[in-house]
Amino acid sequence: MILDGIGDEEKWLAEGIAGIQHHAFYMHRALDANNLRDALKYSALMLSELRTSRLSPHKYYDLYMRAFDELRKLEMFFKDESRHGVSIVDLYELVQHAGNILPRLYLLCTVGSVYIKSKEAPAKDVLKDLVEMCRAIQHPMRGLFLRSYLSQVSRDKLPDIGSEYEGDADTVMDAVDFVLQNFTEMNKLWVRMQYQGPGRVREKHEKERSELRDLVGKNLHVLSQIEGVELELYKDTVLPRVLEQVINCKDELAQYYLMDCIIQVFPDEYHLQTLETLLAAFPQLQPTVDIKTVLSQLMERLSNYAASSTDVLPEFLQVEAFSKLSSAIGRVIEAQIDMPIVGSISLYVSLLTFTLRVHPDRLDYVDQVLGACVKKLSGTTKLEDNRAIKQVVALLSAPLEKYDDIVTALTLSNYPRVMDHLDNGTNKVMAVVIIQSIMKNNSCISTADKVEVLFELIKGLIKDLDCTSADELDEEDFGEEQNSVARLIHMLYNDDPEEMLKILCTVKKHIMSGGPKRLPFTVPPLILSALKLVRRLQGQDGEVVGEEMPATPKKIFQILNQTIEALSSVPSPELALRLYLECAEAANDCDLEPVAYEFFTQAFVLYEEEVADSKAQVTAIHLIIGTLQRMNVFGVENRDTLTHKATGYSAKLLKKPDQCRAVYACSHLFWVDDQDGVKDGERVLLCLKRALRIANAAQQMASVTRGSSGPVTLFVEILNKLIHEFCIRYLYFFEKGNPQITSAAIQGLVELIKTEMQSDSTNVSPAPDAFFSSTLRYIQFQKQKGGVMGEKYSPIKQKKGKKGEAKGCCPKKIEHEADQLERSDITNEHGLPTCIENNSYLSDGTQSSKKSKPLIVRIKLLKHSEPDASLACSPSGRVDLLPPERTEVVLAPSQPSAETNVELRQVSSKPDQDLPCSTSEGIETIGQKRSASAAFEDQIQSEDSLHATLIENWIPPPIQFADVGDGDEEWLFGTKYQNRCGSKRFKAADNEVSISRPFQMRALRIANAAQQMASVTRGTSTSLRKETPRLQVLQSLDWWS
Amino acid sequence: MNSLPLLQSLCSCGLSGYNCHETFIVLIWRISNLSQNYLIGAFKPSCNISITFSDAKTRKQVPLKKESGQAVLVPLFQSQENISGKISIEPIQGKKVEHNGVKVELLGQIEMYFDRGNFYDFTSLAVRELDVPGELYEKKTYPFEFSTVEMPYETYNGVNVRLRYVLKVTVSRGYAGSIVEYQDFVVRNYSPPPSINNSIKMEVGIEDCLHIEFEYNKSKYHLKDVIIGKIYFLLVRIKIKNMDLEIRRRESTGSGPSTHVETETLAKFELMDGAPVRGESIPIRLFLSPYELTPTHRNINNKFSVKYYLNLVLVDEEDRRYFKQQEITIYRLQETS
Repeated sequence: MILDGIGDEEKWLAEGIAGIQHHAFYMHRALDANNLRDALKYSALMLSELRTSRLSPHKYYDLYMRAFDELRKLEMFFKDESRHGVSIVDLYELVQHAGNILPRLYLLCTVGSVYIKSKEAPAKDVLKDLVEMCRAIQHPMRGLFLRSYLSQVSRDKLPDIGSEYEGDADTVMDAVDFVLQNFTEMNKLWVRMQYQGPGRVREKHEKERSELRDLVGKNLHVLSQIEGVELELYKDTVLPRVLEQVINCKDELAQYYLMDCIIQVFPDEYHLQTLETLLAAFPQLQPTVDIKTVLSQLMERLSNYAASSTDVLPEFLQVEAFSKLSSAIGRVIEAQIDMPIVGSISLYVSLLTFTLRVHPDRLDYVDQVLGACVKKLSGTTKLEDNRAIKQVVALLSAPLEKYDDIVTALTLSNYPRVMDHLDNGTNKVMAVVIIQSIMKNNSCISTADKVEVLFELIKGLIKDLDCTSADELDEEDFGEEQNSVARLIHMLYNDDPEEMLKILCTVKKHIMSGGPKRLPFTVPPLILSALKLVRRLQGQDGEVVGEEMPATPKKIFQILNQTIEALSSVPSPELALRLYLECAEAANDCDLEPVAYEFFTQAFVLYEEEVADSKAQVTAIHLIIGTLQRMNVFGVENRDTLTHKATGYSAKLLKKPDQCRAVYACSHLFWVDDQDGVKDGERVLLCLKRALRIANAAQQMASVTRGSSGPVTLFVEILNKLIHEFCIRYLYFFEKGNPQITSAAIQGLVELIKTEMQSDSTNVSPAPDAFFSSTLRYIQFQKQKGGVMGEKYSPIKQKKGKKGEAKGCCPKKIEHEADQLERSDITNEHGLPTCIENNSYLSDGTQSSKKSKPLIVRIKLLKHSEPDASLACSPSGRVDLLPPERTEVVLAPSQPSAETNVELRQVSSKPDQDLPCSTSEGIETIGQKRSASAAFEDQIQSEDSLHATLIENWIPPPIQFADVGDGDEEWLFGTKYQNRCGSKRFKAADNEVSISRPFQMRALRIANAAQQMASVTRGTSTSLRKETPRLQVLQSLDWWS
Repeated sequence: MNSLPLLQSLCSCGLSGYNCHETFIVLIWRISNLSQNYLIGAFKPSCNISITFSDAKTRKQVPLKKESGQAVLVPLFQSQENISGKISIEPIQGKKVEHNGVKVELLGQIEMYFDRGNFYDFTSLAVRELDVPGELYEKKTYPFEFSTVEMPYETYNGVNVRLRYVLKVTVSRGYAGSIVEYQDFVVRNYSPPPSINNSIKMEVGIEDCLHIEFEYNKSKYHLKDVIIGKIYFLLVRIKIKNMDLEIRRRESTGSGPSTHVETETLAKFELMDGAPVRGESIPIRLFLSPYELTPTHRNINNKFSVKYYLNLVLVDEEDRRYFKQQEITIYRLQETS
């Protein structure tokens, strides 16, 4: 049926066109013959084709255009009076004799335009007559086209100022009146169209109707083109009348279109000056009109106008554009009860955009907008409409984008209230946006109040708002969110410690409510930032020593203690442990012994109670040792307690190699290189011996299982390496002048190693050999250097000289010296007890930058050795298992000894050099020292007898798989220790030290540890930046293996 | 002459209860006219009679529709003019016309078409004897003059009735019947603009359906006048398709029970296209000049009357017609030129 309809329409159109062509033909003939009567007759007939009601606007337009073209020809004829011989006045009458109204009026308009042109009558009279007469067409479509024709033929004949048709004083008014009247009538007709036709085709009609809207809008355009329409006239006449029409027509489509038209066609300046009138119209529009779009456009235009030149800004102020717009929006929202919430919010968004662009300095305006929005939203609980949420997000984002400084947004009291109306997900997104904005602009939030507000804003991230099931959350997203919170915490800063403390308290208050999942992310940055404060206080101490100061380090540490406690209960013991250690170190720097002790205690408790995984234990114990080594605040008793405890734990690690390594690391606890540091040579030796013993035990264990299981060689390698490391350790203490470490002991050790290596020569990989040879070279080097060191080394040298024939052991060594040097570096890194965590928060730029240098070099070295995969395999495999330990060693500044250190870079860059020169440069790693020690070229053949004595002396107990139990502690401290260390906690802990925790936990823990490391790294920005390379190291190691 | 405006004004004042006398008006058959010509042809009239007016060259001539449907130009007179001229009678070559006298008459006739053959001469007072009985041997010319002839009625050519003025020349013959010749002329009488000319304004409608108010600027229009007015829609509950203004002529002949009324629509002028809504006002501007109107004739010798009406017709989409008829008076205004 519809198809038929369309087909019919085509047919009717074709008929109409044919009719027009037919009559036009006769009309042309009459025109050619200058026959006025016939011309009128046929033109009227032709125009009668336009009387059809059967065509849609589109088709009708087609027809109209054809008739229009013909009328142009007729007009030409009319103009030439000589052709028809009738005066224009008579002609004007003559055409009105036509019986049908539509042709009559078309002709009248045509003649009318000629009439005006002839200037025989004032343009205004003719126009007035025409526009009045056109009322006779009440059919909407035909009327619209007729009036459109009128408008078309008259637009260049308006009695405008400056036009040739200009009339008397009120001439502009006449022109305006004419256009306005035509506009009014057209609009009426247009509006009336909606009532036509049955309901089922209403929709189609609406579509057709909107096709006609430009006919109506053209009038407004003409109006805007009239030169004489100046602001006053526009204000007093044009706008009120247009608006009156718009309001009265009560038609949604028309109101929307016309308001839009008004806004588009008239100059911005006019809008600004008539803002009140214009805005007053909005609430009177139909409730269904899409006001928000129109208003938004108005505001956009105005803000563009404001942006166009600064000269106009005073105008905005003068007319109080904002308050007017604001109240208008309020009234619109009030008037349009049915407007969906999204509509009102998008209105506010537009207003906000306007405000931000026009009055960027008026925060109160922004707040006012938000306040109004809150008021609107207050009726509802949470928004559910997606579009509305989007709008609210836009609303909230706008100020953030505009004001680089988030601080500005924080002063908006209504901001958080708007956020309250978002659902949780969006709230989070918004919070992330806020944080990103802070990050992007690097803005610093510096007062507690602001922090309070800020955290109020982002509380979606800080805590679970309601029972959102955690399962739904994407683990990765969650991590990302929390990392951003962590980053945010670092942006909170105030130079005033007091205020800073307040900030920290505020932050703490908020993050404590975060629940177990968030704490691991949020606590570390808080702690670190607090420690930063502590250090700053420490720096100030010299100048201002005020007891009454609220922000004392002590107080801060109290807070920190509570905070970390919360973290440890999460449970996230490893992290808590690290933080405790950090705090302890900071307390150490502040000379707060009890505090530091308390932190250590906490760390130990954590170690005992919570750290169950053996890998984690290894890491933890190294951390503890490293930190403890640097502590100088403790009194003898406290220190003993702690070192004893640490050593005890070291010896109780599960794996022998770990034990061994931990124990020889412990040796450093008794030998601090400071001036007044502890130098307990005896205990150092004890430790070393103990370690050697364990190593031996491990070796024996390996030999026991050799026959039955495959990977024995690995054990052997490990063992060898351990022994070599001992060698270094020994050398270290030897150099340091530990009286207990004699050259004889070193000599013995070297012999032992020789023996071991020989016995395993079948399947030993070259790595330990290289390592060892480096060591020997170093001894040789020291010997040659002479001086104090040379003297010290001389006994060893003599012995070595004797064993000169042992070169055969590793004949290829020399050729591959360069490679081996590098390799030895790599392996070396197990050597040192760990102190990384100390460094990690030492954010002082100089220190960290210095340290980063050797790090980079080291990475290079790793890459160098990559090609030789077989050689690399064993050390790297080991290293992999204990990533934190390894990396920590790298970072360790260690105890620099000027004489022994050789800069690593030189080694790598001059591989062919036989004797790397010793330099006096400072901060180097022990590893580097050892590379220098590789200067020995002679290989020492170990003697069986020597081997035996060493074993007898150092390893009294038989081989055990693991030394567990109280007895272990006694090897070092004997019974006296037990008396001294009376801490019940420790005792209780002893019983629990075990590997009782399920192994399943391990994988997870490692992953966690890595992740936390990552978060800490990223979160703590500068202070921990040096950890990033560490991660890279880890990764490169992974590839390597 | 003076009575006519008075009559008109009286009528327009509503005193229209005028009773026309029953009048029998002779209707001239077209066929009879033909037969007459035939007879003339058959019996060869023995002389030619021609009538010429003395001021024929200057006098305005207007077309007059003859029975045959053809329009011929005839001189135009108005009441109380002198009608003078010459009548020549020329016997056919070589024949003599013997007659009982020659006379000329000025006749005002009313012819009713339905009552054929009956002429009603309302004016025959003016008879001029031109010649005494005798014989005519050659062309002889007689001057004649009717001075200040009272011709109160205008020439009128209606549907059922005709009012005409003729000069009738009769050559009386005893045996063979008289020889008669007619000369038509047109009489038009002019009126001054009426001193009272109220507008017509009226509110009409169908209850709860259509209320309109219309206004015509005058109640009396001259023949070249323009009707200006407007229609104001007070209530519209029907879907109007268009609106026309018709000019209707109502010709009523006879009187009493035999009164015959004939109405014809002389003009149909579209005023509006499409459906108006409440509050719309539609302009009217209708030029009367294109239409063949006559003045309103209230009562012509108690024989007939001619009245004009404006009929406002609204047509709805179901082609139902709603109309309101309103009488207007039409008069002939003295043309200034």
